[in-house]
Amino acid sequence: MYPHERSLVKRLADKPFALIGVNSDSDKDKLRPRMIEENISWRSFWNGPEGTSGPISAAWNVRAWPTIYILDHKGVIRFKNKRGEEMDKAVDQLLAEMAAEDR
Amino acid sequence: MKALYSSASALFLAAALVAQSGTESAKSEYDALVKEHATAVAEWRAAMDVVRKSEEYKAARAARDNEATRELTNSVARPDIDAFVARFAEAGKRYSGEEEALQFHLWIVMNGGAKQKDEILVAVNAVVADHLDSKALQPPQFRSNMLSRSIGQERYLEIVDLIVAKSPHDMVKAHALHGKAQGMMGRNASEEDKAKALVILDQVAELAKGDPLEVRARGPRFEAERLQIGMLAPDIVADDLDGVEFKLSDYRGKVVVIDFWGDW
Repeated sequence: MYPHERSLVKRLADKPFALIGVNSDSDKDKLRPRMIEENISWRSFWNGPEGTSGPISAAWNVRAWPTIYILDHKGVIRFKNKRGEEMDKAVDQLLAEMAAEDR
Repeated sequence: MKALYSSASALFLAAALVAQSGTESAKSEYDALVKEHATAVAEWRAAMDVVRKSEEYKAARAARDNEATRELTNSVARPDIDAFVARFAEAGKRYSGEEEALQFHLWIVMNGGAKQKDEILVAVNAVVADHLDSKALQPPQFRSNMLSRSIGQERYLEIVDLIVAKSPHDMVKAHALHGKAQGMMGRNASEEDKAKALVILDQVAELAKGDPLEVRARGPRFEAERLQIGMLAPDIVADDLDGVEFKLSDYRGKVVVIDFWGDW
């Protein structure tokens, strides 16, 4: 997971793109050194001390990790659970749509 | 030798505690049994870890030799769940009719496996007969599919109805109904059952107002009605990992990947 997301974030650093996490680790102190180790730079909401039972994942009915939602620049849900290359393609498509609209 | 010693000492402890009276001794007896079981499970896990790290095991895995890997993992004796269930059942019987019996019954319901079906049914029936008004009647496993598998779907649904009809506690009813609804939303559930489950979950959310269960109960309808492709994503307002509040909508104008992740 991490290597793909790292490269996506790096590749699209100067594009109107953001990877937003909802982190479901219950122990932030254990997580912090791991984030440095894995070079996880993107911003995450914290799902709280209940971990995978936390309020954000409960509200969104998330039962599997990772769960992915991909939104366009208007905030509309366009894809769900696209991973790896498929995620790249989906994001590129939405960025292209956005560029076409601006033209 | 070690196992013999620990079970002998626990037996001694249990016997000594029975001599005391009332809730206190039942609680200590229960705690001691739970601890003994947890220790046995931990010892088993540690032994399994050793096996999994052994060269022999790695080689068998690499060779995709399922028989050899199974033989290696089976070489570690599992905790004797039959014996534990029997001891919890004995205590449940001894305190029968008293409030103290419930914890022993519930342990069997939660920890018994496919091989302890009979004991689970006895425990469930005791709960229904003597403890329907108890506030403690809400461990998550009492509402799971596992229970319907071990005592049969029909009996399970009867019990849910009984709890909903008889329990004076909203949270107990909420947990019972939540379990029923979850059982109706499985992978192969019909659209009709899923729709019915959403209605039950509305009830659960009302009963569980203010409890985390309320949020969980509202999740499936929220997903069905607000989180489908083509819909405007609902906002998320919460703290980041540094404790700084932000909003999903702060990122409007950008393509956004939301990733529910964890480091495990």
